Formats: sequence, C-alpha cells, structure tokens
Amino acid sequence: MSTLVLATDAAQVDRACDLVRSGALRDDDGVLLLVATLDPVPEVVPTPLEDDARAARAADTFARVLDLGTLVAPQHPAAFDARDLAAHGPALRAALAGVHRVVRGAPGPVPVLPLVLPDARTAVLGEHDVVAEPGRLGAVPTPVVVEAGLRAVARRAPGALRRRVERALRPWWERRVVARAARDLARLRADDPRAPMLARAVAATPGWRRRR
Amino acid sequence: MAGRLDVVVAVHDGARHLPTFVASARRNLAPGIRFVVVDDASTDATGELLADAARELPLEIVTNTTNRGVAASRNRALDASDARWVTFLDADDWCAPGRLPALADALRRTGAAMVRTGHVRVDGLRRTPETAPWDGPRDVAVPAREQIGDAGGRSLVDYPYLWAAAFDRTQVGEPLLRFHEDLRTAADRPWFWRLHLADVTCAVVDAPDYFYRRFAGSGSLTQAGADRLLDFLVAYDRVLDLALADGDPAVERRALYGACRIVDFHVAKRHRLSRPLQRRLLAGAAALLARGDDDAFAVAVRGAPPGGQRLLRALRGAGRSVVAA
Repeated sequence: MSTLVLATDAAQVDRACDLVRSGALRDDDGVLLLVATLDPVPEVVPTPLEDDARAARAADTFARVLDLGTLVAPQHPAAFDARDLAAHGPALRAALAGVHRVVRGAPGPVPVLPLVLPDARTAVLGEHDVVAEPGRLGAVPTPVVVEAGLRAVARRAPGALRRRVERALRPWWERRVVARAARDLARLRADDPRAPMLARAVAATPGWRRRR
Repeated sequence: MAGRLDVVVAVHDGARHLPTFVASARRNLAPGIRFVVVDDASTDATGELLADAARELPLEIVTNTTNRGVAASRNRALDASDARWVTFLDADDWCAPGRLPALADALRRTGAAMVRTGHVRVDGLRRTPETAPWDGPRDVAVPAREQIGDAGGRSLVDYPYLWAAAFDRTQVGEPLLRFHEDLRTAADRPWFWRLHLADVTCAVVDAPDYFYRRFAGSGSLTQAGADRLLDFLVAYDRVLDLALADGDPAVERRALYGACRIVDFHVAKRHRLSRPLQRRLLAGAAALLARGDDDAFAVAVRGAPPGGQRLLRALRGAGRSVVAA
C-alpha cells in the first residue's frame, strides 16, 4: 500500500519532499507525488515541477511523480466530475493503484481524487508532520461539483413552461412567420426585382417600422 | 518563406484575455514561428499589452486606425505575413504547449496543403473535446474535395474553425486565403467551402489541444453583435453559389443540408434576437432555402432535426413562390 501526496504549488512540493526525506511521511510501498495545477488556464502556467532542481529533488524523493493535468487532459482538474470517469477512470485507477491514503498539501476541496479513491484515508501536510483527518476521501467535496449541481437545478426550472407553450403553439407560429416572410420577400421583389433578395432581406425588411 | 509558420491573430478590445494569449504564445515558441497580430482599433489597453509582449516574443503588430472587422483584419495580417505556413488564433483562446510547432511539423510531414485538428470547447472550467469530423485515414494527405461528403452527419467542410487548421501557402495560393470583408460573421464558412472545392489536399492530424473559449465576452472579433449574426445567411448564400456552380449533386445536397441545419439552429435560438431581427432572419432564411434543386433539398432537409423540418420546407415554399411570381 502506498501514500499519495497531492501538491498544488511549489511550496507544497518542497514541504512534502522535506517530510519524506525526514522520515515523517512514509509507507510500505513508498510515497507518490501528484502535482495539480488549479489555475483557470493551467496549460499556460508553469507547473511546480518545471523548475529543474525541484523536479530532480522530487524524482529522487518519491517513488513516482505524477501530473494530474496530464492524467485528466483535456479536462480541467477542478471541473472533473463523474461524467468524466468513463473516459478517464481506467487510466486514473491504473496510475493510482495501491494508494490507500491521500495527504493533501492544504485543507479544502480535492480535485478528481474523491471520485477515484473514495475509500482512501485522508491527512493534511503540516509544517513538520502529517495530520490525520477523520473520514474517507469520498466525503471530501471536489471543487465545482456542489456549485455545478446548484446551477443545474437553477437552470431546469425557468424555461420548462415556455418550452411547453412554444411546442403547443408551434404550428400556428410557423404558419404566421412563413406567411410574413413571404410577404416581406414579395415586397422586396416588388421594390426592385433585380436586386439580390437575400442580401436585402437580411439588411432590412420593409414595412416593419411602418406598421409598428 | 520556407519552413516558417506565421500565426494570424485579429484582436479588438482584448486586453482582458491577452495575458493568457501571451502566456500561451510563450509556451509555443520554436524557431520559425512568428505571431502577426492585428489590433483592430482597440479602445482598451490592448495596444500597450501587445507592445509589451513584442519585447519578448516574435510578434509583429499591425494596427488598424478604424475598426474594420475580423475578415478585413485577417486579410491585413495575411498581407503582412510572408511565411510558407500560416495558421490562425483567436486572442481569447489558448493552445496547449507545443501545438504550433506540431502544426508546422504536420504540414512538413504530410505534405498536405492544409492540416486540420480537433479542439476543446471551454465553458467556464468545463471542457468538451471535439474531434475533427473525418472517418478516413489520419495523418495522410487526401484530396480536400473527398472531405465534403453528402447530406447528413458532420463533415470537415462544415467544421469552420480556422484555428483548428494550418495551411501551406505555396499549395493553397493567396486568392483562396482571402476572406470576404463584407461578412461580419461566418466568413469562415464560404472560406472553407472554397478550399475544399479547390484542387488541394488536406490531412487530419493529432496535435496538442486548442482551447476555444465559448463565451469570451470580448477580445475575439468573431464574437459579434446581434445584427451581424444574420450575415450567416449571406455566408451560406455564397456557399450555395459555390456548390451550385460546382455541379456535383452530392456537393449541392451537402450545401443545402448545411443551410438547413444552420437556419434551424438560429431559428431555435431566435429569442436572443429582437423582433425586427427575427423577422429579417426568417425572410432571409426563406430566400436562402429557395435555392437549389427540389430533389436535393428533399434529401438535405431530411437530415435536419425532425422538429424543424416542417418549418424549413414551408420557408422554402414561401421563398420559391416569391421567386416564381
């Protein structure tokens, strides 16, 4: 069994390296480092491991070093949800096989991992040690799941009635707008039979202002 | 000219997104890659941000003194560009690291006149990958005409994303790369049709992702005002000009199918338009759908969403009755 450290910035990577090297953080099958960049556009910002010295130190310290952005690409780690498991679940589970404990670099929501390792135990990196937390990782919310759920509920209600009414009135509406389109085109044709009808129809439909 | 890739970017009031663009450009640098950015008379800090960026990036700035729109701005950038290969970016989007060198490499490797890729649609933090609609061999240059297809389904000719493509100007030729400057939106529709009907080759390739921000707000010249939106009708009128002049029944059916789909789409979303604009939309749609052969239209409309087919047929009937009168 192995422990996974989730680091979202360079300071967390450094602290995790220090704790592993000091022996405060260890496991039977080693400790993995998972780096996650949660910037809104992670593709254009440097990851903590783009610093060569830090990357070399991490490679020497951890059993494996993984990048969450690469594992869930092109999805954003903070927006990853259950819909993405079909596409990314097998690769994620294979990469994280054997992980029984997730140590977070900082308290707060955790991207992706609660969906993939719901039974893992959790802990948080302290200054000089690892602070165990009660409960399992599955109970920790992912960053946008709650918010997305609320948005979905808010979206569902207002348009439903309008759509039902529109469906019922659609045949009447179609007859009306088609007749009017024919009238508008006929008027354009009468005004200037040689002018391109479509361009004139798009530019202005005659009579609209007059009748209003 | 040989072995260089110019990246055409047209921007108007894009200061909000330029830091992301610059960061993305920085991570896509390679020998021979240059950005040709047209500042289309921006009124925000776009000019200053571009001048700053030009100090650290291979970036040529062309400034329009009056706002000329995306098509004219891209034409200006093409005039300023002299590289063999050219691609496009929107200033509010971004590329994964290494995409631009990969596009240049794909053009070199396949020898195609144009290469096309998938892209990722970005809606907030949520991303949706979209593949280039092509079931044939990948990474192989095939005649672009073969990628037009018939009515129904998705096709590369109706995948009008300039930034998901790169072009070899020695094979495509300058006239084919010019945009219709009177089209304020959808200029890329007839543009791609012209390319696919021309005697050029196209390869669908894999490359690091292009991230297309769906609701950018500002900065992208393809984000247009409501009345500009109706230019899609004029754009598709030109697509039909090309298809009908070509004389291939399958090409005509494909063009009519595209016209049906796009009219259905905009009619379904008509509520975002004012009532006068809705009226212009429907009159223009009747004139557009009146074109082409009856048999071709009958096949094309069957590919449209079932809920919209009756209206599309009725609009064609209205348009044809006026033409016949």
